[in-house]
Amino acid sequence: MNPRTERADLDGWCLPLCTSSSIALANLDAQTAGLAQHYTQFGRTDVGARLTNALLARHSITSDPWDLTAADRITAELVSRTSADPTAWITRAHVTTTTHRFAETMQALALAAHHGATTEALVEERADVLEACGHSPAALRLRLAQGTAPTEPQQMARIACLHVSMGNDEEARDAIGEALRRYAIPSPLPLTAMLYNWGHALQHAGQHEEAMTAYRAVLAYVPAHSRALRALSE
Amino acid sequence: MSDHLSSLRAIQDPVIDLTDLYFFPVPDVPGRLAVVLNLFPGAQPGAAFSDAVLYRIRLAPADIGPDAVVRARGEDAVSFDVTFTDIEADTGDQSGALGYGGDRAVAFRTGEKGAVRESAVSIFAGLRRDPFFMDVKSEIRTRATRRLAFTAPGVDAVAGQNVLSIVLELDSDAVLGTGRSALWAATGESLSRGTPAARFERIGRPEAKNVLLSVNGNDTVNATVDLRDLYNLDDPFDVPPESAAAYRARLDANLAMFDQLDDAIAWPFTDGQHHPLTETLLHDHLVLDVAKPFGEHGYLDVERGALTGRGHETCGGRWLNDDVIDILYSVIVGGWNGRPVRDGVDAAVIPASRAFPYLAAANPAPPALEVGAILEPSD
Repeated sequence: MNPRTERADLDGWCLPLCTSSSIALANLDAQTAGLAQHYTQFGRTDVGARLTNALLARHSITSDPWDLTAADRITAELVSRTSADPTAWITRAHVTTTTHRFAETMQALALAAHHGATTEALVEERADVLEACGHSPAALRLRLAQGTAPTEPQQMARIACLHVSMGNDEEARDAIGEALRRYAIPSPLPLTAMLYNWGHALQHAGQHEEAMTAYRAVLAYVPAHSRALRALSE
Repeated sequence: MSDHLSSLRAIQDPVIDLTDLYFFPVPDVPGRLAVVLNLFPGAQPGAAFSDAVLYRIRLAPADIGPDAVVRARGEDAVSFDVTFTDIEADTGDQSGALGYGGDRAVAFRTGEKGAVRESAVSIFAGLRRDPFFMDVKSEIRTRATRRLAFTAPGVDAVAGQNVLSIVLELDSDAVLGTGRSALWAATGESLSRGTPAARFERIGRPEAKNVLLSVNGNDTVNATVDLRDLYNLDDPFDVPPESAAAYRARLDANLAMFDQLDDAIAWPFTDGQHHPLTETLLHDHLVLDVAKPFGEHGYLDVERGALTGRGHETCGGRWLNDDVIDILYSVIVGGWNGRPVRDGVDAAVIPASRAFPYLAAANPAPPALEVGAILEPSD
């Protein structure tokens, strides 16, 4: 059996060899199913939060509305059952941000803070809201000032996207290059999230060709990535 | 929790997260050895091995040095490299390849029906019950409070869980040339495929990372640094001196804390101001005497025999049902002959059997793994 050789290239950055998307998605499906079963049986908040994150991760690839509906329902249950648990509110905020219900997000974050959520978790969500509302400089300032794990590749990639939206192309390329260089796990799922967001940011900044290259890199890892497919076909 | 969730990188991708390594003579079959490498904590039915990861087991002859430390001869190690293909759409199974001894290869498939039984090497790969057992919360509480917090009975945090397992059984003389040495050291690794291969994780003894190298506020050299990802990068048979210095400081500090949990000193530091176990534990591999027959409860016995100068009585290594938490805690708290420390969990829900592939069949509906308390190092 010869080692697989396929790996994507992005503007000269050599991207890592990753697990096939069929394995990665099968594992995500299996873990999601297990969490769902356990959550249904026992209703534990920590399991509900992990289940929600798994559903959102899957939705980011498949765009299956069922996952988003389920995440919304579960987090509504979590904050209703365990209203003093900051994890429940942070998870709820994550879902409402994903569905662009930012007023609900701010309310959830206020309650999360009231119940003792960590500064890091709050900053992460607030920066997401600012970014989604087009306030890139404020989002970038928040991420950099709070130092929310800036050495993590996923965080560095988000900073890179913010730089793109502000026209800081050199800083953006440095940050995404460093994020890709530091990416050190074989899972294609966080990597394709980074690449898709990078493409999305480039597209919004009018850098069409570069954006298409990023989307093609996403599809090299996850051919069924529905949002990248849609972006390429538009 | 043994080696489950034992680094930030592993937590992000369970296909590289090695959970346990076992190394033992095959029960009732002289001349055969077994090695088990487990991964993917909390694996659910349908979980699959990565096709981008090389799963490697290395067995190396070992010697007891003049300082009573067991060291592997890494340059003479035999590597067993296991790789997998993508899952097949119609069956959900994977094909696998085992390469060893330079040019020997065995093709197999995942699952019980895909196991290969041959005189030289047998191999099984697939989903099984996790044979590890431990009261995780009480152990974490022990480190956090600096008091033994175990209860009787304890709560097994691994009860009902599954893992992905790679089980090798081999003719020890034909494959290893056991005439070369009675003592053999075993390590497991997950590496990236391709050249050069990057190491994701390594595993030797249970709890080397999660307990012995944990951040507990004792280590004044690297007070708050989580050393586990750095530890995983090192070749287990050739740890760079600069890394070893960091691990040595952490082990000295943590072992001193464990020794004081019963308000008695079982392990006075050496003249060089190191804990007497530190150098042994730095050489992080299981050690088995292949000349001795199968026996239970042999974990750390070869190391004990070397350090006490009295020789070992059992085969050592690590059997699937060994209560390694009780053995480890008894030794680091009370010394080789101190009062036993028990975590109140004495066996897996379904213990391993004495026949290949040893681990119990997978739980079709495993509970969700409680990860919350495990992820954060205790301060």
